[in-house]
Amino acid sequence: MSTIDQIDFRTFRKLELKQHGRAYKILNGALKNPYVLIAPAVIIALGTTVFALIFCIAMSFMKWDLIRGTIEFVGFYNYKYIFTDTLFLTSLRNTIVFMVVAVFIGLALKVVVGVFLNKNKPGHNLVQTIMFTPYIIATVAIATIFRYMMQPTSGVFNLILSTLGLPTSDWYLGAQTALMSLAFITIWQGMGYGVLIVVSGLRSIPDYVYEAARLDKSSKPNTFFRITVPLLSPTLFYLLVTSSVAAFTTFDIVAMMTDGGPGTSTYMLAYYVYMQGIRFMHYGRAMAASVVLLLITASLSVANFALAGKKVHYQ
Amino acid sequence: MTDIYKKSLLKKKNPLVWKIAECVILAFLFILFVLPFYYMIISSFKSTVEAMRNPPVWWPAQFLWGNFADAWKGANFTKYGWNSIVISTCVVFTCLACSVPCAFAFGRMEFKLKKPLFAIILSDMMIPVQCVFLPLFILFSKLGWLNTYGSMILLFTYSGATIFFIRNAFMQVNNEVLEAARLDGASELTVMYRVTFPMVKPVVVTMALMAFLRRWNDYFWNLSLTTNDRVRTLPYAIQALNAATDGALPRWEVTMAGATMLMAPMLIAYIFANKQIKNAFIYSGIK
Amino acid sequence: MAIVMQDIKKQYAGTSAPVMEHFDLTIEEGSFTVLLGPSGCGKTTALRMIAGLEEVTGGRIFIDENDVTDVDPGERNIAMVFQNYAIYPHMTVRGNIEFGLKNYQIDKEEINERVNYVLDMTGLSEYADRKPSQLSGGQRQRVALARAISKSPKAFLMDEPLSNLDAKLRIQMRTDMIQLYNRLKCTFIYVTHDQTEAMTMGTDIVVLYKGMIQQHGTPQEVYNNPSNLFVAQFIGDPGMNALRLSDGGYVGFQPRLAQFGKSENGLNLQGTVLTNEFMGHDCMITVDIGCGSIVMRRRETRKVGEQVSLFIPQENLFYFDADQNRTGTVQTGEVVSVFHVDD
Repeated sequence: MSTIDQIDFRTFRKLELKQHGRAYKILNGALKNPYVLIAPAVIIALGTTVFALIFCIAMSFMKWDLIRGTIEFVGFYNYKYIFTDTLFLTSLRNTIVFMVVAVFIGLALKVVVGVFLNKNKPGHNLVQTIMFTPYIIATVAIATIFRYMMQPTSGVFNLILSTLGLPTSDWYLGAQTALMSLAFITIWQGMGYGVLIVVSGLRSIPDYVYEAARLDKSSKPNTFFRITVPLLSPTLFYLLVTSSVAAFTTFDIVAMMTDGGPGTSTYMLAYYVYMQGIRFMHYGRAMAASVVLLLITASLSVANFALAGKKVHYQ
Repeated sequence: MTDIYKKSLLKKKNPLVWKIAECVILAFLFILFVLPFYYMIISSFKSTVEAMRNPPVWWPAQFLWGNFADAWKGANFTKYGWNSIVISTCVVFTCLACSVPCAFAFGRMEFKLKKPLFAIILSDMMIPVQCVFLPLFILFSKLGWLNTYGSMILLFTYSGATIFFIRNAFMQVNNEVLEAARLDGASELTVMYRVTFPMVKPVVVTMALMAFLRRWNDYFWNLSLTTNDRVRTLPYAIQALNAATDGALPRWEVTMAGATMLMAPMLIAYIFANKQIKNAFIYSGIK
Repeated sequence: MAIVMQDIKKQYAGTSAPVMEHFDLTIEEGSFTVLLGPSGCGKTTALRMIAGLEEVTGGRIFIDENDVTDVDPGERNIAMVFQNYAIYPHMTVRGNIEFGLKNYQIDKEEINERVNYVLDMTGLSEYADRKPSQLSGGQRQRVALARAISKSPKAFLMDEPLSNLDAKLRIQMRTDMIQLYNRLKCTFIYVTHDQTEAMTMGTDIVVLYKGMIQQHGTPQEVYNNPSNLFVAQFIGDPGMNALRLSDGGYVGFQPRLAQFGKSENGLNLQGTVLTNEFMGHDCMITVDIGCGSIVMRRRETRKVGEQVSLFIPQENLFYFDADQNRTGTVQTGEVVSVFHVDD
């Protein structure tokens, strides 16, 4: 460096420090301090999620009398109550059934459709793009349209069914069919996202693996099950975990379409918690139910991870 | 070693059969996913009678644009729409302002208690919403924070997923660019803010988009943390229209119009920027 | 019994011209045939068409007199080793080898026998239960080889299998492969752009350029008797120098056969030394002869900038006609320019 450059460099630095005085230095120091940078997020996180969770667990052991304004410790009373409450047990059963159907059928469909749409042709790309739309629009809008289309008398779905000679259905208005209708809607809504993830997972499998399989005289089904699926397992695992937790915490579609009905056929855990808490203000009970939900989703995640250890192959 | 092959066979391909099947399946999927949207939009233009007719009407006799006005008034779009806009936009700014520095700290700095603090940051990704909303409702009602913009915006300023992905982006920043900047005489602060931050801009834009989308479409939190209509947002209003159709004289066409208007911004954005939006969602999916 | 490509045409959909046309190639059984050429010359395409991984737009392919043009790759009696090994990342070494064998419905005992045999042959026995991610590049290559050998195919197809290995490993694997060839006494079809590899390993060399066979012969033939300018300049380290003559023909000479000095019997050139690279055994000297530069390889050195005279004896001159094909006719005329095929 020539002397001229050196002078410029030094004056530049001096200027930088001179123009801003002490205030700048303090700010400078603060902005470089990691604790300052993370403070807002951590504080809100602690205040909302962490505090809320602790409060929730604590409250699940309490009975909160709103009339007299007292809170008393009652041990496992709330838990005993909910496990003898048919409504809770029904909602638990409904949620499990819903989850099994929505997650497993949904996953199978996503994989099959994903494999089918994994071609860079205009038709395939268009369908893929269209499939993704339900994922980005509000669940309310989806509830609106399906309510309309699932009307027993004037609805489009029954029109199509009867045109094809198939029996019509009560869809979300029938006690036997409501839960499955909601599962159908949930699968429909999540297809585009799932297919997108599956397709990008498939594209991460190099072509030459398939060519080697062809040379190994592997039939299409054999290649699919013994090569594609194992190599796709990280993607499948991700979808399995996220969709099972999401299915278990389903609330919106229930509140928008059936309010748990007809009867209690679509009463689900998340809806139970909401109703007990906000509507009936049985806080202790609601928290207990939500703790049960937490335990279930946590064990689902743990079970999935355990499964992943064995079955998921990372390249 | 013995020869394991049989005589080579001549294999016949059936390209035409497969091609037709492919088209059929594509058409089926296309209809399955377009039909609801088409039907919703087209029904927005029907008359009340047409909307309830059996068999359903696929193309209305007249296009009643008035339904949109009815929906706007009936669902009080001005009020709820404004709430939606206010909350969604404010959250985008506050969330990024909070998340980016935090992500930077976790991504590029070392400090004590980093691991446990990061676990706290990720907590909202691990704890189901049902465990959290009720305590927050009770807390906010005690503090008098229900039905305020502030409480809703404050709550969503923190987003574990946003911090997580921006952190990953920061971790992938090429160190050599930073060292070149330091050699050029940039102060540490300049390096931080004027070199590193711009390098994660694409991810930040993606996260901003997703934050906006989540708030715009949110129904549950808006419902839980409010007891009156002051800060309720559009999804709530549309659901109210939905509930109205359970009554005596349902005006489906108005409900459809309302839902169409709710969907419109996202749909239009998607039509024009679908690649970016898709990439945004894939990115946040694959770890 | 051999592999025959008959009047092959290859055109990619949506393009206006075929990349290969009227392509005829016969590969002798039991030969180590190397398909040699620069990138884009069609050697990999040809190999993949033999394998059945690439569709043939026109013409037929025969393996052992059976028309296999429409037959699946798995039914053609061949095995292939890819440039990036193409081993299944989620299976163990043993699993990789077993996969194909299971598809051929051989009974368990024989599968085990074969697997152990090839593991032993390729020195992978102790790695049998490892996954590819736990293996080095060379080991992965051997897994690919083991997989190929286990199927006891009629022909081994190899697509630049050694190019992803480091230099030292490459030389070692080269020897291993020649030993393998000698042991299995099978047809090997080997694609490479590295002419050293080709010349040291092959019994037959097929030089390809722009989708056409330039020459098909033994390494000696290809080196000492190139059939056209491309082959002459592609083969050799460095390739032949070629000079364009005013009457339209070309004259070429090998760098090692040019000598310093003057002669009445031969081609005389003069020029300035441009570079002088010490290669160990000899020096690679570039001389600017006015209309271009030529390369010599001699044991004697010359200084950069020195004026030199060089000559090539008459018997060491190669003549090419105006179409760049080798001819016995002596071409006449003055030296116009130095010529390179890829200009």
